[in-house]
Amino acid sequence: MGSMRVLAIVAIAGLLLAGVLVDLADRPQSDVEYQYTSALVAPTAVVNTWFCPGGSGPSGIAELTVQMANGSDEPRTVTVSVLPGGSAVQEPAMFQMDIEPRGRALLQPSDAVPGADWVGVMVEAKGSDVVVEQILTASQGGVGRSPCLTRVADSWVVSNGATRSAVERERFVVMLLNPFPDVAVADIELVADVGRDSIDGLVIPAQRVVAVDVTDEVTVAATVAAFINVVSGRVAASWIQISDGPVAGRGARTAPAVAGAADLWHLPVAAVGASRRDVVAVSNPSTTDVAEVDLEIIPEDPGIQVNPIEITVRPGRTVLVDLSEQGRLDGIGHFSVVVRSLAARSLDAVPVAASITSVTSTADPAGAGEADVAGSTATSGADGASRRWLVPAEVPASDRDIELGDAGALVIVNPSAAGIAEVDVSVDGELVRSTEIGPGRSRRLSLASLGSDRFLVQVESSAPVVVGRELVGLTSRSASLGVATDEPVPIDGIR
Amino acid sequence: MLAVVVAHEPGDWFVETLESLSLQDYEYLSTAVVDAASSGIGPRVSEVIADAVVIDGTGTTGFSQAANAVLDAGIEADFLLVCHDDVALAPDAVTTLVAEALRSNAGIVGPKIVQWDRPEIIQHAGYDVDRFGVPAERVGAEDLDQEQHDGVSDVFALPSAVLLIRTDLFVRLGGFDGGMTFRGEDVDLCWRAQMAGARVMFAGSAVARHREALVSRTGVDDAKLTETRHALRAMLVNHGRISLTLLLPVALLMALSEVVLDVFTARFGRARDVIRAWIWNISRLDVVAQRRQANASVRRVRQADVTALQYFGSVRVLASLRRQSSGQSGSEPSGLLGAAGRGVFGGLRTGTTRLAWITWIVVLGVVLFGSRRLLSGGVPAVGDFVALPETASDLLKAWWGGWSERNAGAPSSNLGILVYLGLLGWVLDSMALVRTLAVVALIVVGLAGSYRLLAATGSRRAQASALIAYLLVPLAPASVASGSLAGLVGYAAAPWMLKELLRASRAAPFRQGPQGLRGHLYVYVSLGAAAGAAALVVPAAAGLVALLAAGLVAGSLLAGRPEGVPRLVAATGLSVPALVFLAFPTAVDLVASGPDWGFVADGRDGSAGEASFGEILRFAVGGGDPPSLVWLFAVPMAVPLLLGRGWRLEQSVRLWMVAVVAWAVALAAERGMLPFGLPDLHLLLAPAAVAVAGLCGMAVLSIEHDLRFSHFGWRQALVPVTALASLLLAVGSIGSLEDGRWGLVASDHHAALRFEAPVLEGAYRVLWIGSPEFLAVEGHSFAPGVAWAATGGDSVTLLDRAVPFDQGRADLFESVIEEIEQGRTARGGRLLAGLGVRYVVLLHRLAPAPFVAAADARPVPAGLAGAMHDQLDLELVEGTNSAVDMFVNTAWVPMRALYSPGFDEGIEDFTDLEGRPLATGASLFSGDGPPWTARIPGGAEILVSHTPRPGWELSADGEPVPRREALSWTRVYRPPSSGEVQLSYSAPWWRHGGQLVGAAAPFVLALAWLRRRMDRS
Repeated sequence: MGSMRVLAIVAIAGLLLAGVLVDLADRPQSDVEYQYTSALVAPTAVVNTWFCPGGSGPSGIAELTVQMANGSDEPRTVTVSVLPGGSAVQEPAMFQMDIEPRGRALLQPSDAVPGADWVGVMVEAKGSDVVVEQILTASQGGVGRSPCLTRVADSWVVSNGATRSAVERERFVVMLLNPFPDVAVADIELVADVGRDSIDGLVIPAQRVVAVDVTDEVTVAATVAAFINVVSGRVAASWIQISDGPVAGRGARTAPAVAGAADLWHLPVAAVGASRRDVVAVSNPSTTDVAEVDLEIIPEDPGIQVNPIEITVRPGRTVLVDLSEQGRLDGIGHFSVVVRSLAARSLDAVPVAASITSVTSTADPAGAGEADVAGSTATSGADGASRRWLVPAEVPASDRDIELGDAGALVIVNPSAAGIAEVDVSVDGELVRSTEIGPGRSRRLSLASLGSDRFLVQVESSAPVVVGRELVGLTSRSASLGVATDEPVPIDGIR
Repeated sequence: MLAVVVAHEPGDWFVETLESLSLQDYEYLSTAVVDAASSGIGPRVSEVIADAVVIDGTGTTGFSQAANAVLDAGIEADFLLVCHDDVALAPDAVTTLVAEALRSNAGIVGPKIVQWDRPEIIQHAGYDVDRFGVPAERVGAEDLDQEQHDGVSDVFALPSAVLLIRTDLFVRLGGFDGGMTFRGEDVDLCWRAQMAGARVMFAGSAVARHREALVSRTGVDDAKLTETRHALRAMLVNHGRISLTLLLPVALLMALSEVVLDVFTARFGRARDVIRAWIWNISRLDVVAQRRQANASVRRVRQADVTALQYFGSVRVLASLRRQSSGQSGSEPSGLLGAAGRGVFGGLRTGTTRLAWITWIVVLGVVLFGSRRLLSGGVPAVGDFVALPETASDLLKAWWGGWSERNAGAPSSNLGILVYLGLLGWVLDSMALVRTLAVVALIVVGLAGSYRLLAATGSRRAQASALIAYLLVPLAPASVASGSLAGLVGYAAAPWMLKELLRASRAAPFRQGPQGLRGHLYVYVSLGAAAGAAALVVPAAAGLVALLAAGLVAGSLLAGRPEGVPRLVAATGLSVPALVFLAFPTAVDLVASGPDWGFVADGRDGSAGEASFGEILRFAVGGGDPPSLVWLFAVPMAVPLLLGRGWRLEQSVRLWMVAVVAWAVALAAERGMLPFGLPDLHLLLAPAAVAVAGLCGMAVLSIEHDLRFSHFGWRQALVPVTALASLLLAVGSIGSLEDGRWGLVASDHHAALRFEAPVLEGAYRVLWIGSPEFLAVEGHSFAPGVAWAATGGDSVTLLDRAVPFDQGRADLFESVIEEIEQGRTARGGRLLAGLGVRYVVLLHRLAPAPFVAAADARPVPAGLAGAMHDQLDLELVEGTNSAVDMFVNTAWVPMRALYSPGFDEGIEDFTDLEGRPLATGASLFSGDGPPWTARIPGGAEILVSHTPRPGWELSADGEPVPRREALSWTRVYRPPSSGEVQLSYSAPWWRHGGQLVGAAAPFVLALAWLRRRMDRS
């Protein structure tokens, strides 16, 4: 009996102790996969909804045109909802459109809601090979162009605008589209070089667009960033920048706002030159933490090494880095920029938002040369990469003859630090180029070498890549990221 | 002295009867034999007693009339010795009786009557009689004659087997009541003798043996009938007007109660006897009146003086109480009124019995006090505590219907418990009250089980200790606070299951009860019944048997007693038939529909929870954090391990292992160590809770029995330490009583959510997504820690917890949620509209804020919540409580609606709804149903969004309407013309049959249990 008692006590105590030890170990992580939501335009679902926050009606500052391209061999039927905005009472219009295989369809949304001051568009397309872009034609000249969004969010950042309306004739408008059946409410904080301002409790009615003319809120700002916090509901956001001045140049640019923030961004299209001024904008949406950020330059020429540009971004601030003023970049030609937030003063890196604007003038101030087409572009950063991209492209007929001239380009960046990306570039379903891109390198392909007129470039890669484009039209320029049609992966997770 | 022997075809023993008379040492004894059967026994009599007179009893019926025949025989003796023909008197019996009659001036004197074949056992020592004329033996059935009754005492009545009565008294009383054939005539005679002022004396030194085998001689078991009949007759005849007026309603009420109880326990014969006894007396009221007049002429003593000699209460009620409180079975409680001291609570005079009663009173007081606000304000619909339908008829109708609206709808087998809840609701006229009482009753049932757990040890202190410990274990408050019906059911059922498993193990001291196959069967059925009763409410609770058995097996092996292991395994397996019977037809449905572990796991997927091992050990698994004093349970739990000897140590080891196994399983579940989900944590901890209580009881046993064998030392210190720990535990638990609702919140989600009434705008479903613990019905696991369920209409009731025969088209919900969660659609509302979903509710907390703090929230994963927010046709309802996100589906169409033909053209697949949304049809059949009736125009189609199953039919003019598939999953009916149509569902006959069996099963088992209890009594 005595031995049994001891055995029992020891066994029971041992089992309880084992329980304590088991419980001391770390608990298994939840089986829930980390839901990465990329800032990329990524129509990867079966049915994709495109949100074009839009522009103005025909009498406004930047009339909206929507271009829908079908990259597949099947006809597509899309459902278009035109959402009005402005003071006029208008109901949304909804209709369907057919797009031929490998075809395009242009839509003038203001025709559906003729009295609307502002107009946005929502396109529901079945299939991933439909690409929707919004094209804004400024009344004072210039055309801006960017893919529409495929997501909504409750937080957006617009990094780099300007409101020098008198001298540069700049207008900076933030477009908010609420596609939902319930009202959205947003707070907008405007941080400019001349001070701060805010718009609180901005109501975006259900299935309407609202244009926030920042020019009226913050005047005479050389740089202004907008931090949009949607306190109720979710919206899609983009911005329009129009200018016609000696410094800002002439033109219109538009780009999606950046949803949220990330530690790592790729800006695939960048360059410095005598007639070109590229500015990287890095915003820190945090209200408490300072971000230490490196801008890493990836020249197209692998033989060139450039030291990173180190910047510090205070909470709630935006830092503009004028690449043309960086002497270390002289002569390196085209390159890509990696914006990397570092874990320096805090335990973790502070997420930031990054974008790049580019202004090309027709005349080099130093008299060194002259660009073919002037214009300004804006490109949001890419926080993710994908194995498959679609890129709407245009090459004016005259540029076809120039071949290697300034006719626009397709830029492919391999963000991997170790792997080689084998890339196939097809146009309208036909392979036109195969290439390999080394780790951390980029490849720039002239659009003129790929096709002519309007065509859809498809990029397929053995490893996730980032694809950007630079379009040069007859009278304007635009730049943007491509449209990721394979599930994006976060760049900071690529090895 | 004349000995009057009433003979009725006596057997061989009659010679011995006569010989005993002939051998009496009383000199002046003559004998007269009444030949009641006119069987010509004269020669047999004269062979033994030559001078005996034989009186012809022709024309008499029964003992009384035969004995009265002596009145007409010209008696000259001073005393009559009335005898049955099956008694044998000791040689000095008559002398003793006569002497006592003279000494005490008694009217009637009776001897001590012992058994014929076992004269050491006392059969009768006179009767105590209550005011209803019911006699109570002054001795027990097996009382040994140890001369304890050899004195002389006044009694109220004596058995007629042998009694000495003064002849003048007998004549004045008119003899026995001739209407009382057998049984009760002696009570009546003695009662009247008391009224006449005669003493009725018991002389224990006079002895007579008595065969008392009337039933076997007559071949008719009419004992109940004649006893009841004649007791009532005696009461009617012998009471005064006032006392009879007061007593008669009470007697009638008691008779009715007895009839009800007899009917409930299927003793229809007994019930019939009671009824016949009353009819017999009512039909003879003229005789009653005559006898009352006759009594008036003999009355010499005030009625009050006579009734003062009678027992104040009811002998029958007292006997029942005594049987229950003494726990005796198989025999009449010894010396019923003597031991009771002529008081109902006399049986409590033993210390341990008093302790048990006081403990129970305190415990029930605590439960009632702790539940006071639940009882007064009702139980909010939190967690599993779903509401009941508004009326009992709704509940019963839905139970019979056999269709569940849950998810996409499916045939279901509603458990038989609904019938009983419905009947109770009908009686109480309040389903809400039924629900509240059910919650509190589960706690009381568990406490009763904990008290019975250690009954086999024979220690009331141990039982009381286990009872108090089970009350103090914070599992019940945690279960209530978490809205865990499974936890409460486990709390209620685990002690009973453990008790039966211990009996099945046949380990000391659980070896009582019948042996052999019958004993085994009884244990298996009892165990199965306990598991089945739990499964009636929460089917997964039946699994506690396996968990408890596993602990006992481990404990038996650790205690070096492996012989009980096969018995435990066998009991676990062989209890299944009773379980299946009780949970019929649900158990069969579950087997028939294939293995569905999700049903057991209730939407849990095996992902890790939040409770730490320390919280598991102290049952801190819901509601408020129990006080740290709970750790003090370790003190009494350790006592039997340290002090116990013999079976007390072995059983302690077994109970410890029951607790350890339960804790281990709970820990494995909480840490996500299993590849599958397990039921509610509260349910898993129920075995540990009862083991803790059992160990506290074993601690008392060890102190009672084993401490004395220990040398003086540290072991003695355990007593005050244990007492102090117990006191602190009790004090520390007072806090849980403060709110009067065991920590349950005061409001539920339905108070925060606003649903449109279906009858106004059309029938709809609500899709619920959240932690499995937050869902009111069985959830389907969707993601780690996230489950979903869909219910119909604006309220969730117990009917939604019905077990579906199959999952119907629940897969469609799953695919839609997945589409939304994966971001593959922005028009999830259109897809949900195809399923009739109008509202989507994301539950982030168990109950609305501020009743549940943000710290206790388990929000729906941001990805899924965000995806819901991204849907273009789901409108977030602003202003709802922060504990929920409620969306209205703007694309919703009624589940049952009228459409123009071809409304679903182009929808080949369910997913086509995304691009081809349904137009809103005219709502139809939106009231309570099925069945529904409506008038429709011609040329219309009716969409019915249910899982298509045989039994659904739309009929017009009694003819079934043709139907076709729609939306790739459901049906559309096209009535040929306008007019009235009816949509109905009829379950197959075999399912109704199964439901009837399921409803009857608890009744049958309860009946069998009651009958067995009564048989043992």
